[in-house]
Amino acid sequence: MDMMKKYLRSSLFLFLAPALVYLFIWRIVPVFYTVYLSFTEWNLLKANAPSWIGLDNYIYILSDGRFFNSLKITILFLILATAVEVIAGMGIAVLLDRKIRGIEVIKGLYLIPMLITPVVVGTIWYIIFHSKIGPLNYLLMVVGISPVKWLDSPTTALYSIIIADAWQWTPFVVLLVLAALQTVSVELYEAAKMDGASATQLFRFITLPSIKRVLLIVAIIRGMDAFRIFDTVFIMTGGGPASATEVASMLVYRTAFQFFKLGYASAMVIILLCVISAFTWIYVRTLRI
Amino acid sequence: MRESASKKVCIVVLLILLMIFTLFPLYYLFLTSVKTAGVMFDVPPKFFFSPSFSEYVNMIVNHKYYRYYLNSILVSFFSTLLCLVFGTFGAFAFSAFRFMGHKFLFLIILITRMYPPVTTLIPVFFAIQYMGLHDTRTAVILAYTGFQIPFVIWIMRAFFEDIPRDIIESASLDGATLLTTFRKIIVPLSLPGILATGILVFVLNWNEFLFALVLTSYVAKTAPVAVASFAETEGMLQWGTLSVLGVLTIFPILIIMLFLRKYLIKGLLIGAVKG
Repeated sequence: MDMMKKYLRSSLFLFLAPALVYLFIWRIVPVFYTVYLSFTEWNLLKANAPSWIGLDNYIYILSDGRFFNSLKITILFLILATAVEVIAGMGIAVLLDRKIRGIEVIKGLYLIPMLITPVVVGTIWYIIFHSKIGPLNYLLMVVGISPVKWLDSPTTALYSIIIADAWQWTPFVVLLVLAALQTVSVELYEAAKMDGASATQLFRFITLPSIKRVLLIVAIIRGMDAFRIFDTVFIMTGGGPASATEVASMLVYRTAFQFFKLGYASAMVIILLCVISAFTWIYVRTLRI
Repeated sequence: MRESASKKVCIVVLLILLMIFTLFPLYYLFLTSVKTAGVMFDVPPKFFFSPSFSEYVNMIVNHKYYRYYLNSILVSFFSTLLCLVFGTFGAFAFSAFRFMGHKFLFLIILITRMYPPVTTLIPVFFAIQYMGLHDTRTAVILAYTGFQIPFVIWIMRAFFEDIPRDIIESASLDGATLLTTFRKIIVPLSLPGILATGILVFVLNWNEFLFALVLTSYVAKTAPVAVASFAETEGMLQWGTLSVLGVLTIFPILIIMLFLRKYLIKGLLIGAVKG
């Protein structure tokens, strides 16, 4: 099909060019510009243009406790949120994977939080956790537990944000695990049951292996998302109290648009990119996908 | 398989708890939005009272909140449209052609979606300033389009690959240009996929916050930014009003979920699993 090839090739550029050019301008060039900015000092309040300072930003970052604190918080968030969501998601998927009346409606309702505007998710949970108008502490009191400070205390603020995050994103894990469970054959379960396998054995030897791949993918996706989280934190704590929830994106935003240190913020971004790449690489290598 | 009665009860109880955990926060947001100042701070929290919708009217009519709403609708709609045009063209190129370096190019496109949004925030902010587009809807549309093109390419390629190649070949023998084939045959055939992708991208654009926050300040503010800036300026004290804004912001999404759930889930699944 030589003619066919020629025919196709003549239009290749026409189809590919718009998307490529657009992405090049809006997604790729800016990354390189950020790299350039990371070697400059550019304080919006003082200067109109960036001035080259070489590696100074990076040298300064090495002794910047605030930056390392935010990295630590981000990674803690990454590990805890992923663990909670993957484990809960697996359980809930198994719970929902049965043919009973009304289960489709329940599944539909369960997936709602995933598509709710994150800023509003933050608002919702801010209200739920609130000491005066929130219902949560009252509920705890009814059950006999003393009130928790949730977002107002540095020790619990991050966990509170993880609860909100799990509310929104566990459904995503469930959606993917449910889809993977569809591919497990019923005969396999039946056969194993005939052989006298217990429920735990069924899960361990049939269910788990068939959803392993999806779980790994989810872990990677949620891992990368941890470096994106911004909206809910912005609303719920603004990074506080006392930098206890100042995740990476939050610190970059503040450094750039509240303290106007653009060069320094860019250097933070570049280091973040390195950390993310390393994380993804470790995931892929150790989990062998 | 038969399950014992106690196990059945157990499952039903768990399902009810799950539904409460999922829906109660949304319900409580709505509840707070229709509380009057009188019942707002009641302990224990009131669940039964005569609801007041006056704050909705107040925000939409008196405070002209519909402007932010309109901004969100326009911005999400046009950036989705641009994404679909650029993205479907690109996706078709990747499914129909096996050109040199197509794998590498595809990888590059995917990588542009993987790094966190904050990576390009500063340069894009300056590009927009430089073009004199700060605080315009155009600025937000331009930025959003860049985010979601890779996503559209990713999903639509999967759809296009299901279309038999014979169709392209026979159309070419009839003398149709590839553009005509694409327009008249490929696009109509994959319309359900395009619709599913479009709805999902619309929701993602509607929900975006960080870039809208930085690229707008007053005129072009989107609904999520309006929620956040209200929360900031009113010092988180006007709970009723804040939750009114929250409910209004997610209302279109709930409507979409209600009527187009099938499409949304289809898009989400392909978007995530085909990795």
